[in-house]
Amino acid sequence: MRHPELVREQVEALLSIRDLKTYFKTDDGVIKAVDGASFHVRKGEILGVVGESGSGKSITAMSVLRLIQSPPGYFAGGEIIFEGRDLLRKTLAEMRHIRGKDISMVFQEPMSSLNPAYTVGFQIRENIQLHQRVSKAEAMDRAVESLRLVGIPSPEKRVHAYPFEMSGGMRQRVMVAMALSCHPKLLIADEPTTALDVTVQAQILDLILATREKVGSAVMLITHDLGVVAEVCERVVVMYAGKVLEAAYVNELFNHPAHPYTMGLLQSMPRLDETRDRLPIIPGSIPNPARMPSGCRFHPRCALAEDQCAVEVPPLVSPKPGQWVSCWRVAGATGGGADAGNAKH
Amino acid sequence: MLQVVSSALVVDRMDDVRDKRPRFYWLSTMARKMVKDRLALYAFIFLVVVILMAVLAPVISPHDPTTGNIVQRLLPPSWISGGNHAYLLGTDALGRDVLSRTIWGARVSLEVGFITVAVAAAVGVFLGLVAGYAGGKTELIIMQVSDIMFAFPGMLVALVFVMVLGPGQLHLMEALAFNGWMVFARMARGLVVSFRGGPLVEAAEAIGVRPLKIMFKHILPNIFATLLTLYVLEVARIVLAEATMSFLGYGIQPPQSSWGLMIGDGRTYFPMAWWLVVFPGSFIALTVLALNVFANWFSTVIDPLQKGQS
Amino acid sequence: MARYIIKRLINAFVVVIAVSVLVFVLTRAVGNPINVMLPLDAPQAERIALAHQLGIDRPLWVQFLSYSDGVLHGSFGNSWWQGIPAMTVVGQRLPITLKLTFYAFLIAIIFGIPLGMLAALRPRSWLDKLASTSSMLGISIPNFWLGLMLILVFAQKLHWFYTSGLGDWRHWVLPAVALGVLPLGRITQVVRTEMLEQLREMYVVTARSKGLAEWLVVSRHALKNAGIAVVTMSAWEIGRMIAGYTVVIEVVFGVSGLGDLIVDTIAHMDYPLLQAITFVVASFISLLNLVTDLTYPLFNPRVKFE
Repeated sequence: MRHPELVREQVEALLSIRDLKTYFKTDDGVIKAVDGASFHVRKGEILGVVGESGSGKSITAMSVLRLIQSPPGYFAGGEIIFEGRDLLRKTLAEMRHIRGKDISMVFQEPMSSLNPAYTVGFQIRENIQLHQRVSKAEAMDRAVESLRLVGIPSPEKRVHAYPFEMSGGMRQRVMVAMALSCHPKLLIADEPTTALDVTVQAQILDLILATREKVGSAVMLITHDLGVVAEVCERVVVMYAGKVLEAAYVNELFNHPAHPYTMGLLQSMPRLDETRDRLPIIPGSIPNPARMPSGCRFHPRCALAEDQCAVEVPPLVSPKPGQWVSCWRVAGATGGGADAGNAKH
Repeated sequence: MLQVVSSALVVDRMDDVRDKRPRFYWLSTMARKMVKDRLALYAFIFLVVVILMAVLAPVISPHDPTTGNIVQRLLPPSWISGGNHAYLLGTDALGRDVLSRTIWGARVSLEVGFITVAVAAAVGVFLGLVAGYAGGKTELIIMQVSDIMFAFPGMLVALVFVMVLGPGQLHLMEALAFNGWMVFARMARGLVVSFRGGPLVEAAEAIGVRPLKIMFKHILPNIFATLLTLYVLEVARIVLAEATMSFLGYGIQPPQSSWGLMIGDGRTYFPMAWWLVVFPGSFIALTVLALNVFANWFSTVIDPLQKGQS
Repeated sequence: MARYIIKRLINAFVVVIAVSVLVFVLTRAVGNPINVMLPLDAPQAERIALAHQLGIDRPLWVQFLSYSDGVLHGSFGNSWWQGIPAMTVVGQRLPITLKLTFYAFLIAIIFGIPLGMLAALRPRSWLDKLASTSSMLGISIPNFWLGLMLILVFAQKLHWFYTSGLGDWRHWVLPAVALGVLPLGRITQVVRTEMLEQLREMYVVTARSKGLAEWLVVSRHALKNAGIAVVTMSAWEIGRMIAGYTVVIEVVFGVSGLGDLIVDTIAHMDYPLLQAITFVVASFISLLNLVTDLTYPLFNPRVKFE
């Protein structure tokens, strides 16, 4: 039974991921990379999806655009609702109309994300010509404009450059330009700044913010860096071992984290205003995806775990408006029945 | 004095650790992997059979391959009317037993293959190691010579050798080895260069191990597997080259038999006496195929990344 | 760029000289053509006379100077066997071999590239296994034997094609197939390997994320990056064909091209003709390599010529 608040939010959302299960068949067994994740992105908002590597956040992003290689990957359940239709039920041909046009993606490695054999202008133009009926010249003009939009100097010249002639930061700008060239409603950015220098990181983040203003797209920003989240995001989703543990507005999350994992993450961040001899860490390590712990995925590492945590997966409940937590400490307190429809396993 | 002693100790201990346990583990893992890959298993079995055939030729050959019974010439294989059970695969124009010639032919073809490539590999790997490790002018000269010789038209050079020195097994092997060392040199040098700046060599040098020793005792074992793959591939190539040359009449000379020569001889009576051509040719094809399959399998086994590709 | 070409031309020049010198020295210092041209019981006087006539009784370096002088003036001497200028003989035969090589190469890429691509797109499928198996067979079967088998089946039994000689297109099919099977196998393998590697790259995912159809992702994006390896292998196989495979294929099919000429030249120990053939073949291969290298920037813009 779904929580009425959640249902309302999901219906109003631009993109609604509901109980997504993306599994991979391997020789070592079934890997449940995403195992019942639920969250949504509202029109025009900047949502951060945070987690360690292996938490399933990138796979979730790839699942939205159905970029999962199948085999060995497959969708074992759930829905991804975009503009009223389930993306998981669409054919690949239908998805191709959405990719690059309604939903675009920017990837982590600008070095290798662009084709080294073609100019950046060609690659942007390709996207434009794919989705809009324009001439080659017109598409080229728009490509130049999109380069200007992302702050690349002398775009008329740069448009004929090859990726290897540009720095990492510039390449990432090109990726953003390419992704935004058809004014998508949603931009998914998968760790866009991780491979870049710190100074360049800030520029790219500003760029993403600025273009959101100009183009109006929502942004799903995948990252493992809480600092990035604090800079740019309005809301945050915390993922762990393929599940969503907590979702909240940025300020709420940072000031009043509800889930022990989130608390641990925040505590382990180095802070300028505190002197500490040692950074506290969360003991243990992320679970082997082929052999997930039963019940709450985090319980083996949780200092506050109780008996129930090892048995059953806690449901997503909403102790405050806009905040969602999957933890028995909170769910127990709010009382049963506030169930967001999570499966038992 | 202390330095020499300690380097000797280090080297010996390294041999210890590397040689004993890992080897057994390696062999048994490889054996298991081969059983899983059926094609490779069949290829390996076939190769073993052919090698045994070659080695045991004097024992298992039903007849003398060089003398024939004119009365029994051009008999078809025994299962066809007109055939004779004494000559299972038929006889050729001189009455020689095709099966016997095929068995002895295996001996010649494999001999040429394995020995020629062994010599070419020894020379090539040595030069490649030297070039890679020494660098500078030495490397330049060796690689330049290798590049120039790479551009030589292979068959032409082999034919000239044979033309000048006279045909026959020895000269053929010389010709093929002459033009076969470069690929080993190039590979060995490439592999050495990738090791050159690395920690292994740095450590050995720091202790004071001499260059020759570094090359042979430290670098070589690491690149051995890759070179082995190349060796098998080259054997396949040389077996084909020998067959081609013998077919043309410039390789193995009668009364010896090689598969290529049998096809060359049998061509006159082809296609009526088809058995003269079909059997030796099939053997060449299957042997070369088995070598190629084995080399391919081996290279995927030693490179885990490649395994996902097939 | 021009400097690079000049450097490579010098390199090609060195190669051609090296091969020619090797052949020259081997034949004249070690070989003994008199034994082939005269019966074994010929009197010594006759042998000396012939040796003098051919010019091979002179010291090696004299012979070399004399020969080089001739070459610099455009003459490779007369063929001992045919009596006409050696280059003329080569010129008559070369086009035929080039044509045969071209057809064989065409077969190799028309079938090899698509097969390799399909195999890479569907790894472990039946298509992949077919490509792997057939390419393995292709590089393992002795081409002259294959030629004989093809003659047996298609010309003799089925009477579809001719067994030998040249004429209309039906004469060319079997030799082109027999010659082309090995390059076909190699090209299939190299395309498959390269494509598999390219399809792992991130830019392929980016291309898909833009909404490109899969066939475009593969043919426009991945294939271009695989280009260098494919072109290199193609050049290598063409060189191998000219320098070797055509010899035995032409013999099997009775085609009077350069390969067939080589066999006769060896049999007759015709040194001038051999030098001319060596020169032409080595030059061709060297120039082929140069042209191939010059195409690399088309595929990988990072390739620059110092």
